[in-house]
Amino acid sequence: MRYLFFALALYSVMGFAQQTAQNLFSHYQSALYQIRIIELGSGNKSSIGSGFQINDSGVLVTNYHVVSEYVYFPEKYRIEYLAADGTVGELSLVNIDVVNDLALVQVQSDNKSTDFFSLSAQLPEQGSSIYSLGNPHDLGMIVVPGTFNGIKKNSFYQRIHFTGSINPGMSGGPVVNPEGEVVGVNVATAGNQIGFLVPLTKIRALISMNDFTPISANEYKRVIATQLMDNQQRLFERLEHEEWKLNELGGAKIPTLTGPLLSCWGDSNSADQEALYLSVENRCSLDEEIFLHGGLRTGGIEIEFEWLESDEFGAHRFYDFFSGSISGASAGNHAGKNDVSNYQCKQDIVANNHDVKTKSILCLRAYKEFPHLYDVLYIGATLNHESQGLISHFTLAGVSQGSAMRFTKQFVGAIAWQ
Amino acid sequence: MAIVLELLSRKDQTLKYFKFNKSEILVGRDHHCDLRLEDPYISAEHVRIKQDSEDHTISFEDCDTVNGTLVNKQLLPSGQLQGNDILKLGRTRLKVVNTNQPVSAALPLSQLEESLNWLSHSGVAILLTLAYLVLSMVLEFTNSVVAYNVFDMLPKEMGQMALLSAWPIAFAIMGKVFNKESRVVSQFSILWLTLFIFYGLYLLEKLVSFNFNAPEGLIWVELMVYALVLFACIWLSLFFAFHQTNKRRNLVSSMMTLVIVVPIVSLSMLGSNDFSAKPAYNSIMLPPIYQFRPASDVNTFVENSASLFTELDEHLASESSAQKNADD
Repeated sequence: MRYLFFALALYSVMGFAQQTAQNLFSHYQSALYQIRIIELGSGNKSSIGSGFQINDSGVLVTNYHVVSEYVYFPEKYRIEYLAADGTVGELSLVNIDVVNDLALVQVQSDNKSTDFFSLSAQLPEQGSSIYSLGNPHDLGMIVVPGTFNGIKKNSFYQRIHFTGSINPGMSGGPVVNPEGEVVGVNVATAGNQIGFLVPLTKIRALISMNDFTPISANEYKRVIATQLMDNQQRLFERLEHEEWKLNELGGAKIPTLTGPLLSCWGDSNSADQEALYLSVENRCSLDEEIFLHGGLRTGGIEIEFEWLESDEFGAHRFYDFFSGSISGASAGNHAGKNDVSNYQCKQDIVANNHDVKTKSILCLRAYKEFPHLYDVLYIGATLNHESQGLISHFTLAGVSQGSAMRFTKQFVGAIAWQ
Repeated sequence: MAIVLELLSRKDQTLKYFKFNKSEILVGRDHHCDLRLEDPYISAEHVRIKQDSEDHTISFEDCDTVNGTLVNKQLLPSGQLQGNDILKLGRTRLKVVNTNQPVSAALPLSQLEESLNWLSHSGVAILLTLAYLVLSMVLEFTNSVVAYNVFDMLPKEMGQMALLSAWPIAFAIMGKVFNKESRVVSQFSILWLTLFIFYGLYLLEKLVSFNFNAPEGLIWVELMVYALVLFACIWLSLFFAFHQTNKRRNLVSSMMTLVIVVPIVSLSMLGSNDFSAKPAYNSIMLPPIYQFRPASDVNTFVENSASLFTELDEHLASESSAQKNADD
């Protein structure tokens, strides 16, 4: 009897979900669009995404990464929509928010659909059913039912954790509650049934600060630069105000963040019976980066420490090994030669207030399109001991000189001995 | 007076000297000839060479041979011969030596030869060889991060040394061919000594670049010093292998040094301006006993790095203005 009840309950939930999905789909179809980036040379689409209408003047919300090619090369691409009734038309870019991966585009046609999605007043409760809409792999518009699982922790770039599958092409599509009100925008997936959405507040912020007058094509880079500059300012203010405490790693004490801003992982080779040295690692990083175009990410932070010691090596052999361990450091973010300059480095032997003497190497590269933003790479290794030492390393992507210098001072100054 | 002939190799090197205290000689393959040459293309009586008793001029006369006689590549039945004329009989070449001309002055015996005598002691060479083996094993040891077994490494090191031996052996062979003396022991001593100096320089460079923050000019100084040592090594190898004038030896060693150094430098310069996601920095660290440089404090280090930001900004500004000019 109990089983029967359970089975009935399951059936009714499924039935309800199915019904809502059907209703939603038929009701809002005309406010959903496929967004295509058309390459002018071939006249064919080079990438696709989804978008949804948010007012009666034909303004659509989508992801920045859907239209990023157009933003970077407006002379090589144009944006096009495909509506539910099969009509195709031009879209113009209204505004972008690269930090939250959002963009506003507008239908350039006279017979705009008057259907549009309204934004929900607040986020649903954890565990509520929500529905993701979009056009995966160019297969046509679909509805994916899933669960709202709160704002993802460990994140500076806020995302809603959505349990349900989001696939390529659904990017930019809306996620709605059973009443059909938008709570987020599809943005990314982390594999099986784990999806991420841009939360409601970010959409609202972008819409509210706009009167929907389009920014001109030659202003795109300047807008991005301003957004990146403001974002790194906020990020580093937050980092500086977070609580840092000293944690032990081998014979050293390393600064670690107590809050959930960075996600951290550890590793060691202590299980390796044959190793003649001990290596203990601690790596922390910001989970998300800001996508600018196919070959350029920024806004990331990585912090790594490695403790090395050996009873067997002796000073000369240890320092040979130690020197090898700090060579070959590489940038933390993707960037190409049109985006950034080559690295330039400065090195010195530096002692901090805790008697930690390090060989410190600071390297920078500048962004070609965004003045006064840099990628910073630091690598340091302690010189106090005969056959043990700490390697400290960080990379910061897209930061100002001020942020970089303050962070470096704090970082190098904080390392101590036990 | 006498008729003097030189038997030449294909490369014009003197193989044999013949001096005849006669005013007329007969050259041929027959047993009664004054100069008998084993060459199947030479006739039994091939050519007569005469010296005039008054003016000492030399003339020749072909004895109607099958293949004839060539003087400086010209087929002639008879005629006068000058000093340095080359006669070709069959496949054999003979040079007529002008006995009236003075020979070139003697090369002064080099003081260096005496002072480098110790290099030719086999004891020294064996000691240097063993010392180099030990040095390369020690190097391999400090570079290893896994358990080190001397007997595992020995074949590898000896193999490398065998490869390196190609250099002294090549010079020894050339010495043997051109100079009748290989001096292989000295050649080996030079090789190991040079390698010792290279390794010493490498250590010195590590010490300097660590304590002076890898200054940019260092690489060029280093290159110059390495090139000089290489030059000296080649010079000495030539010195032992050939008898030649200092001028010629300097020239040959300079050319050989350039041939070795230029490709290495240009290969390392190749692509150094290309875009790379990896910064180029010097990662050398040395144990505390080699640390002479006083440490700067964190603030100074970070404030000094401010110049990197301005340098990059200026670099980009100049690059973009160059771009604009190119577009115009």
